[in-house]
Amino acid sequence: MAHYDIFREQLAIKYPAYGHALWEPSPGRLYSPVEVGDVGYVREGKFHRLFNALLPADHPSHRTFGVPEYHVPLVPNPSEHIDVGILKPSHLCSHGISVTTGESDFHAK
Amino acid sequence: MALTVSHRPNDLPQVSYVCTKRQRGAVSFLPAPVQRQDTIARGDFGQWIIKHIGIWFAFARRLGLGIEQMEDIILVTGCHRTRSWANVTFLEGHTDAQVSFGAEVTDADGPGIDIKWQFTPERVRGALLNWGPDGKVCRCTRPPEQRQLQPRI
Repeated sequence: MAHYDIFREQLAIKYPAYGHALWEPSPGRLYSPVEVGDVGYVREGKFHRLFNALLPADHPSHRTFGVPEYHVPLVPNPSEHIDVGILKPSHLCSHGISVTTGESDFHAK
Repeated sequence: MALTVSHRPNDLPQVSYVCTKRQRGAVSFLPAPVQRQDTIARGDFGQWIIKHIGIWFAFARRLGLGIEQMEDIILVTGCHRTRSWANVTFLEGHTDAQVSFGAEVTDADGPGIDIKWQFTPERVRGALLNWGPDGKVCRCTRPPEQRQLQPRI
């Protein structure tokens, strides 16, 4: 199994509610940051956005790939449907990982 | 190769992860506050993808992106966004897999978080790393400063 699939698999076992862990979270220069409503796919640990189901066809973010035929934006009920929050700085560790912090560490000679 | 425990005066504060029993493992180290977004209209999203997945799949195929299965298409219902990260994958079969790195964050709740990373290859055994930007990473909403993490499907 590739390293990006191990990463996703191991974190999904421990944190199933947190979704698909991306090995490469950066959208790079080709894509916008991920948004609710994005339609895309994950390849080699990176999310690739095609279009956004909540946005109209003529939205500037659709210039790269366009939208599917007969595209009509999804209008959820209620219209104010996105809940936001903050996750404090942390580390998410899969089962079997132990953590140590401090000034001492190892190095090879 | 011999290993010694040492103290390096110039090191940043260190964190170490050890994966025992020759098994797979993963760590996502998030040094700064992470923004979460989730739709509460999960039912509407579910019905929408069922209704449109055929057209979306055909669209993706026409783009020539190598998408072979309808199941590869994702509709994002929630996500976490971070401005920096250190991702670790522990590979199977290493008896003493370990990763150590230095991380220092200043102004973590301010407008311009300053992140310093310190990675060296000799502190990585049986694992792979991928880490995000350092320096000032602002709280803006456009790339490349704001990064995506973990879309929920």
